[in-house]
Amino acid sequence: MKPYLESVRRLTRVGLILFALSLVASAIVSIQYCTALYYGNVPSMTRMFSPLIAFIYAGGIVLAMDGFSFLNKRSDSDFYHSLPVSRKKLFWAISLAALTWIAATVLGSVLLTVIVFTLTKTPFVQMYALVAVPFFTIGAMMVFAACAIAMSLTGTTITGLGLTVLVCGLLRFMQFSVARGIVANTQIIAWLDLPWYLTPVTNIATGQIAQLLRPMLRQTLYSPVKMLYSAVVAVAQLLLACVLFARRHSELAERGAKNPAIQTAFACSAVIPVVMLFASGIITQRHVSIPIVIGVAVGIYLIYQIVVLRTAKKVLFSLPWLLIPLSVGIAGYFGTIGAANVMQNDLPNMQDVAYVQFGGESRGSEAISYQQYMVSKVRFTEAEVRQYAVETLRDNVATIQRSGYINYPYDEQSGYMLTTQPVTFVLNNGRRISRVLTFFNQITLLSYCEQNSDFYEAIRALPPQDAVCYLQGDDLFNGGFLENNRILSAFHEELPTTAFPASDSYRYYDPFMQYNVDDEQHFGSLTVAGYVGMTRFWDYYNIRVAMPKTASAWMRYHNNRSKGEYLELMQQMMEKSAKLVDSKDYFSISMMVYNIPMSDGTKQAISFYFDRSSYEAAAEMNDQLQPIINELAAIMQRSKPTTNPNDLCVFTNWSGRMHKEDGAFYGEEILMQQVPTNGNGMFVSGGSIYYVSDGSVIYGGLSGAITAYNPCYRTFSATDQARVIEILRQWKAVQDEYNYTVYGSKQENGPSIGDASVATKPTPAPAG
Amino acid sequence: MIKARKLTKRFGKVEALVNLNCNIPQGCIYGLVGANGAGKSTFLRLCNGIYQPDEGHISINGGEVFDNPSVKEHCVFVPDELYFLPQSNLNRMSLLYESMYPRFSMERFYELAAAFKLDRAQQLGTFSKGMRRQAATILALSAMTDYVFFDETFDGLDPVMRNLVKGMLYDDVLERGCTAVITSHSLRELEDTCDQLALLYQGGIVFESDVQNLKTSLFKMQVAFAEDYDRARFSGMEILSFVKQGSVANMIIRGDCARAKTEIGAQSPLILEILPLTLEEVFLYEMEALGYSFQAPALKGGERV
Repeated sequence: MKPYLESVRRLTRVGLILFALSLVASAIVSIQYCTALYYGNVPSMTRMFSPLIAFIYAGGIVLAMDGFSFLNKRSDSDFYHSLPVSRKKLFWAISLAALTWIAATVLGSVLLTVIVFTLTKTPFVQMYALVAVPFFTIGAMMVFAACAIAMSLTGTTITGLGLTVLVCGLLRFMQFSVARGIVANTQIIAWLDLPWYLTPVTNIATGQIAQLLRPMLRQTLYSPVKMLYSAVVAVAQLLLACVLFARRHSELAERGAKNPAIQTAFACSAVIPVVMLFASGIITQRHVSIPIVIGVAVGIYLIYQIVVLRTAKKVLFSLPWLLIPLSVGIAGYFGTIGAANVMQNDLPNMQDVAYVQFGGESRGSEAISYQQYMVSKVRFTEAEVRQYAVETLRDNVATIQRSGYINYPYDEQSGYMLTTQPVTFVLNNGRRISRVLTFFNQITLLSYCEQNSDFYEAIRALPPQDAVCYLQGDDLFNGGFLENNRILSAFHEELPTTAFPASDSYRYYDPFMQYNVDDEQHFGSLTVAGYVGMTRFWDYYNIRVAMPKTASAWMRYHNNRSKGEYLELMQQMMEKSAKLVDSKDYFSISMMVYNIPMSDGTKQAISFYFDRSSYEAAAEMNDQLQPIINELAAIMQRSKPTTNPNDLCVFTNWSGRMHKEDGAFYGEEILMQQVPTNGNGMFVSGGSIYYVSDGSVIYGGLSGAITAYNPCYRTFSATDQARVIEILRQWKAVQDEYNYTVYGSKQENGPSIGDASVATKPTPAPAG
Repeated sequence: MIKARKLTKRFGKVEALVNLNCNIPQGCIYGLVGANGAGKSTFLRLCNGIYQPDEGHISINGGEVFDNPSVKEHCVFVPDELYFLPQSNLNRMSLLYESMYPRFSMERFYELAAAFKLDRAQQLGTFSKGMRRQAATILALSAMTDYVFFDETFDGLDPVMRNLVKGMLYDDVLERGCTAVITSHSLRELEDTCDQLALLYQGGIVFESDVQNLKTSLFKMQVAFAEDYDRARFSGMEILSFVKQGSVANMIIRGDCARAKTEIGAQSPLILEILPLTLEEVFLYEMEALGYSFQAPALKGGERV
């Protein structure tokens, strides 16, 4: 106990510095995050505890360097080895003292982070705080143990540091290189599909670097299994370090290595990463030639050996050993290609496949949808799904072998409905094969999958409402959350009454994009974010006419935030746009009009747009449109906000920069008011709601441009409605012609806008 | 008791100690003298378990030393190059010693620090070289171990402090039966301190003796006779060195001084004088008698032949 307490005391100096730095960094990062203008989801563990990622390396190395610093100086080494304490006991005393400081620092930083998040009422995944303490402690101890091994093998700080990097990362770098080669060569195996022995994140210390290089790996890094594995590795490393420490010759102090043979071994180890870059295909021959790789390897070897061996004769005698790392490189090159070929040709038969699983195409994203999370757990035992997946795998491989890459040319008949999905085949013997497959037809795949009742439920599943932390960007503690929650509650109530999946990722793909017809017309997406256990989700729920309560709540939500639409200004600028005073003046308006009666009896939502500027491509057409647009602007002045999703209603966004004849700007008062206070153009976004930083919904820029955000859903009187429909009919005709003329788009034979007899539907009861 | 048998330690191609044998009894002050590179420090490091012998054994109280805390807790080492914790003071160092040495006495530590008039709260980095040696000595003696090893320790101390340390060492030896092993390249440094002396030469102890015996076993005699004479005239005596210039001869003789004086006095010498020998001279002559040649510069104007 006494040697341990003494070691704790001895490490106090660096321990306290690290502790203080870590706390300050954690406080800064947390406060910065929590006071940020906008964030729409709970932070990832990487984001929340980013200072501790640095601590894994800094803490581990600095504490080991300080704890075992006596090994690098003769007098210090003599003193410690003369003490009446066994070498093993001394080693464990120092290691446990370092563990104490590491755990204290991690705990302190995590607690401080949690306090900042709690005080600023910022939601976070509570499990992260519990996981973070063992996670970062184990990570730092892995680095500490690697450094302890290095310190036991060498006798100087520089060689200790160099060897630490090699001990810590050489094997993992080789593994990473091979994995990179396999990912590149197979083309159907992603980082997340690699077998456990090739996954770079099983080791949580080096995994942190891997996840910074390949962010998709982040999702799998923070798992208990990897923590357990890493803890075992850390303990094994410590045991090895203990043995080396106990056997270490005291006279090694102040010397780089025991003898030139060991020194040469270090030099060879330093060369291996370079040759592996080439071997793995990270650096392809297109970018660098083999002689250059060999040249760099020889250069590193020679520099290292000249520095440590110091005589040309010794360096020359050691040159043949360079063949070892070069051989490793050659073996790595052919080994990687060979392994990739074997893995690519690992094609199971349909009867061998017990079931397949779909990880979800956005599985590598920061936050996945809740439905994807649920689908990833579904086991598809259905013959059609298994058959389709196996056939696709074989077809993908055949295509790659034929063309060198996945190459399915556009096929008009199939509508080019390719979809890329990560698939895991679980064989009858329990073996798992994970591949990223390109399915030829996503509708076929979906129809097969829907035979599975678990899948059917999963794509309609909604996260528990108490798991939701953000709605439209408002967190639990914001007033807007309650109002948004009415929309979500209505969605929860109405979704089961429809046939729609919760997320459009799992809806049948319409090659003609006819989504805005009748009940399918959608007003926008409700952004929902939160977490279940350790899994963060980020969902978008489309608000459709088929969900009248939800849609009504959505429209009210928007209308409530639409304070002053400046419709008069819009009309003035629109009318003036017929004759621009300044070459940089412009006007642009887009209108989404809902429930437009069509010639086939349906009601559709159609987008209309009108742009005028000095550089417009079809001024003649715009001249045609100008009078009716002006008339529509006049009608807009008489329109009224509505929350009835069945009304013929319009949602308008506009912007412009317009001079009057006297040279003054239109909207001068807005510009004068906002330029001094909001010249920085800061926006606050809450879901699809945008505010200028002073809370208003219109922004005047330094250039004189005015942008209007957050319009109301507006509807018209019966008389105006008839005229609006007529205007829209003409507008669409010109618009279609414009698209055909300017963009060369295809003229479609779809329904045209019908007459004004809009079928009336009862107004739904307001939600909430 | 410290016992070394065929103790060998190599550093690469250099053999620092070769087949060294020695016994250091308990309760004495044992001096180890030798030139630079003779192996003194290596021997002390082996005694303290810092190095592992390549061959042979070294034991203290019957137990092997290397990585053996039960033996090492009886030993404390004050090396040539001292170690103190960075930015520490004596108080902090005393905590380190206390946590490692089971018999460390804080009481004694305070007493010794007061005796040496060292500020316990002052940073050791600000101490002079001598003060740092005093600090290391205080800490070592406060550990209350049975064996204390000093490597060239007295070299950096002023005469007053040297005497103070010696006094403390004597007290420890007399009161606690402690054993002190002191190395130095200067015999003069050791001759009035040690009970036993050993000479280390080229990795081996070539000579080991009780200091008192050593000083009385050899004597120098200057004689002159009227008639011509040579070494054969004194054939009954064990003469280690015979140097004659003119009619005067200087002899280094081993044996009973009074008897030799009587025997030569009976031969009516013109001159008969017994001259004192320094310990250094005793060592040199004993070594020469053993056949070791140091190829040292000629003594006394080329007298030695």
